[in-house]
Amino acid sequence: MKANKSETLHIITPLTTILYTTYSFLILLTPIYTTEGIITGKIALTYYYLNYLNTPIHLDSLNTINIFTIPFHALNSYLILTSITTLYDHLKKKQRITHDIRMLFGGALAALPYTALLLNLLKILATETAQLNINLDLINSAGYVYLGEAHTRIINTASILTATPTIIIITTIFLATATLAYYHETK
Amino acid sequence: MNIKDTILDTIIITIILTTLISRIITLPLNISIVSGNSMLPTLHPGDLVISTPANNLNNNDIIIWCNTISYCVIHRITNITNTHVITKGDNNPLPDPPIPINLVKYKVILTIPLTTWLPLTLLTTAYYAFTKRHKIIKIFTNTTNDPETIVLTIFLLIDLAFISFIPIHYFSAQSVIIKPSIELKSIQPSNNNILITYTLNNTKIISIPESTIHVNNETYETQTQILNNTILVYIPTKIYQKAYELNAEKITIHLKILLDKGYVIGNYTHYIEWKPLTITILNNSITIHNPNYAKITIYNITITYYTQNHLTKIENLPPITINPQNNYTLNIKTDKNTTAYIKFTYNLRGRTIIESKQI
Repeated sequence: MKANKSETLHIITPLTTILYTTYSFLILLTPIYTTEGIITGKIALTYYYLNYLNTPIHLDSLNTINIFTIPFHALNSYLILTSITTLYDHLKKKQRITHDIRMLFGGALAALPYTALLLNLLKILATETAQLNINLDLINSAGYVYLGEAHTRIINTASILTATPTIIIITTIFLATATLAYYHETK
Repeated sequence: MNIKDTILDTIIITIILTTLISRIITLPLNISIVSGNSMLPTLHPGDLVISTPANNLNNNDIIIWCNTISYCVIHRITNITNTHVITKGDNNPLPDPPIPINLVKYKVILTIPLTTWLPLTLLTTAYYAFTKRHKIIKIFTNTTNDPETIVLTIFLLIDLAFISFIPIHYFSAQSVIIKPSIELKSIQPSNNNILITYTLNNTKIISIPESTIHVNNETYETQTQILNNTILVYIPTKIYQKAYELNAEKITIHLKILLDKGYVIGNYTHYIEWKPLTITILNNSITIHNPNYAKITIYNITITYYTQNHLTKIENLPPITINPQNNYTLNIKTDKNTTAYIKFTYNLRGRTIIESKQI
């Protein structure tokens, strides 16, 4: 019975990890905000492209957010590789499966502070993109000067992906599965 | 562990802790790394800045202000009040929005270029890793260690390294976008046309898709020509004529100016200076000059001749139209005993003007 449960966890844990990393990659790579008007472009956590009247513009704040995603990519890559190794070792009935599960658990633990950082990055991203809502129209001695406006809005699918409850639920499922597997292997 | 290792460990831990804790609570010393180009040429991306708590702030001080632990800005003060400071990146076209003074954490006292501190740090790290090589190898190869702890520690260290060393960036798209601007500089007549000059920044005039002139309630299409920052508005004679007939003292020029970054709709008033006819008498001829840009008709023209103070003849002439900016010369035949008087009437600015001259 215990062996069966252990076998199941050997499959479920890496699969849950792959699911989590896929979700994490989606959050990092899917454009979250789109800007229309005199500033056009899309903004994701890992990259962005913005054009002000067809001239590319670069914001240091967004560049910094992009750099901050490097640890996430590193963690995701690590988790994917470890999951594949775990599945492989499980299929080949290798003894080091316990070591694999412990390695996965380490990654799952690291995902916890990373989630906090991710939520913070999303908050900063929201603040920065809000500042792209600009209206340059004015009235002066020359007359009514229409220099245009820009509006930023969150993309519907991204709003679901990046919702705090979604992030917390998926991280919790991943962490719970990894903890269960770890507990089973080490007790 | 020897004393050298202990000192090295202490230095490294102190630097990491200082960089982390100094964002939460104000410490006597803060170490940060610049990211972004907003402070060029003073600060370059990657430069290491050492700062102390922000006391006695002055204009031109380079400060670090933080919104959150991981959200800090390093810019120069351009204006300071009791409650707020306005900062600006040396390389930014515009200042940042005002920030509360309590967000200002540190004042920069020393800058170490990337080319100096990075090689030194790498050498120190390499030396540190070399001295600890046996321990490091053991951690990764010994399966009896806790792999979960090692993995967690490595990723936490990566995370902390990023939070510690890459938080300095600057604020706002508004300070990056160089907004175009257009303002009216002058409206000047040029013969019968109007020159409208603008002060343009970061934009240029592309075309004038709409140009009309309004005289009272009547609208006329007109032509324009772009001369760099100036628009030459052609005012046809018929518009002056209409203004003359309507006794209008001003015309309104309506322009839609297409810029490379937007457009302007301007209504500009031009006051017409209606001038009275000028009369010049030379010998037996009278020259009437019309200085206006509308035709003016003189009527009730009578020439009265007196010979030795006796009225001898009254001559009535038909109305005469004098073209814009033109002269009309009338030759009057008199002898030395005869005096002629010319009298005529014309309308200007809604009033009837009667001229009378002796020839």
